[in-house]
Amino acid sequence: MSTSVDIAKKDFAPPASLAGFRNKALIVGIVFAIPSIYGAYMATDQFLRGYLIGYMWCLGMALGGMALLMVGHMTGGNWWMLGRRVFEAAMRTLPFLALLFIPIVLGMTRLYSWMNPEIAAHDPTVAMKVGWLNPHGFIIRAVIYFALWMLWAWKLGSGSDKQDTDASPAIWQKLKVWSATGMLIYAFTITFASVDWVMSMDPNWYSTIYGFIFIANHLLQGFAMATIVLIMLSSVAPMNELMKADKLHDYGKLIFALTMVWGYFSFSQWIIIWAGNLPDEITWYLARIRGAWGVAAILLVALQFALPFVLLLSRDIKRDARKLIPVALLVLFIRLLDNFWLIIPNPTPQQALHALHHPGGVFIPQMTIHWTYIVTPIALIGLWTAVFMWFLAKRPLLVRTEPQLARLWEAGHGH
Amino acid sequence: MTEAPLYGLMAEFDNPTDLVQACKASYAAGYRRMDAYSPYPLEEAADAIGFHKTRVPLVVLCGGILGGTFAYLLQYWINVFSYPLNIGGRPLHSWPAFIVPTFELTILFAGIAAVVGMLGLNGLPQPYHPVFNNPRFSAATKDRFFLCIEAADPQFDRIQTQRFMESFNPRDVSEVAD
Repeated sequence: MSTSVDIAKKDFAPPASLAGFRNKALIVGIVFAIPSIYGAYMATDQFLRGYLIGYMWCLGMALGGMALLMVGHMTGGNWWMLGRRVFEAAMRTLPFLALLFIPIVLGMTRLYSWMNPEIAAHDPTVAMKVGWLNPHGFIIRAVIYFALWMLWAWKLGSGSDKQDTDASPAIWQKLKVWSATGMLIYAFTITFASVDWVMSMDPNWYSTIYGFIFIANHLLQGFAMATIVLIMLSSVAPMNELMKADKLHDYGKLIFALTMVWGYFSFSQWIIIWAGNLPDEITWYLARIRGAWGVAAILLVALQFALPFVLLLSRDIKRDARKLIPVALLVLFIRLLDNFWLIIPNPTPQQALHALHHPGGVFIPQMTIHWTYIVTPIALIGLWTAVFMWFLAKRPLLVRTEPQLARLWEAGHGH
Repeated sequence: MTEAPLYGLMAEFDNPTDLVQACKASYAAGYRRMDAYSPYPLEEAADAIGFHKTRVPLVVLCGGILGGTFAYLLQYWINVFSYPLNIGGRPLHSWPAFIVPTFELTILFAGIAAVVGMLGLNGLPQPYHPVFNNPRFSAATKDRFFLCIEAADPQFDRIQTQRFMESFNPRDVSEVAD
């Protein structure tokens, strides 16, 4: 009885159905881009905040893919061999995301109150932070982040392309070195980038675990994305032979683990600030747990932590594609709600200026859901998904020279 | 001397895929009283021989819920009734402060429940098992995969079953004394 799988005879070509998904995503993106562009003129402030919600989501997909790719180069594993080209396709969208960052730079004075010269000069806290929080630094740092991310994406991507035909161990070695250094670079750059792009919207507030919350967000998004895409591809070769219950189980467990990491980091931030109860820290939470924002906060805990946690405790849900897909979709949707909860309650530059002129009191924002908060993220997600699908459809779905590849066809074991 | 009673027949394989296929074929042929042995967990083999679910996860879940509830109520009782202290002007029932011990005791109780539940439900410790009478079986913890069809199976036939097992091309088929 033969047990060896003849890899050479297998066809790893991406299915033609990807073009259909890509076109659908593109249509959604364009249809929602039209009102978004209208919003950019008619309600610029709100449009920019909606844009940031969607942008941070798309960036999370790309960087989450890149981070998991690098983790996998270090650890290996069936999940990684299966999802590698999905992670790489997400990573390859980084130049597109650098392009999409331009509207944020153009609108930065409407997003970040510390860019207002009066606030920078007279707000005592902001005045002390102008060494970091200044418009030039913001742009220079953004260029550095994207340059580093794109350099690593290019190196990891081009090495992977060579591996379709070239089995030489030297490429593996090189990719391992790039991955090990890249994980370090990623941890630093995303910490600084999350401070620059999201945390600084409230320049008085700070939290040192913030960057790690974003790392958890990205890894969670990366796993949820790979789960959905691999299940989607599992109706045809080669994934139809591979996406068996044991592989689904692996992905289910990984989403489960990252759900707990997200809860752990988020709760760590909350309990330290709650226990300290200091005015410059707790106000950030007060703005987010009162009134309608409190409902959003509870939804976040319930839907990003409690519900996936309880559902993924079940072995059956982890091993059934039809049950796992809704959980992964829920995770990706709640990532948007989380971005909404992080970004929108921040004081606008006008509100910050008003607070500067009328000191005292705690800023408690009203929850307003502007229509651009919904259409702009959908437009960005549609366009990003189209670009992602385009990259995914350009290369074989598995790396043929991967020495362990035959293991994927073996009876379920190993993780 | 009478012949030693037979526990079953054991086939030896050198890879997991052959074992899983043998398990599937044996199950399809109607054999039920059999077990597969491998150096590491092999879920497909467990599925192939019709392994039913265990109740260990349920025991663990109950342990976790019990631990979490116990920890929370304990802190509630201490802080609200037994020894109320004003800490930074916070309410006596300050739930965020209770979460960390609640989490820890959930894990502790679930872990203990997993070990106790596993031992209670799988019959361990078991000082004697006939499969160890086969001298080749020691490789089951290293690099060999075994399928044992027990003589107690209603379909078991000393000659027919051996022929059937040899049809899988195993490395070896041998008797296991009871």
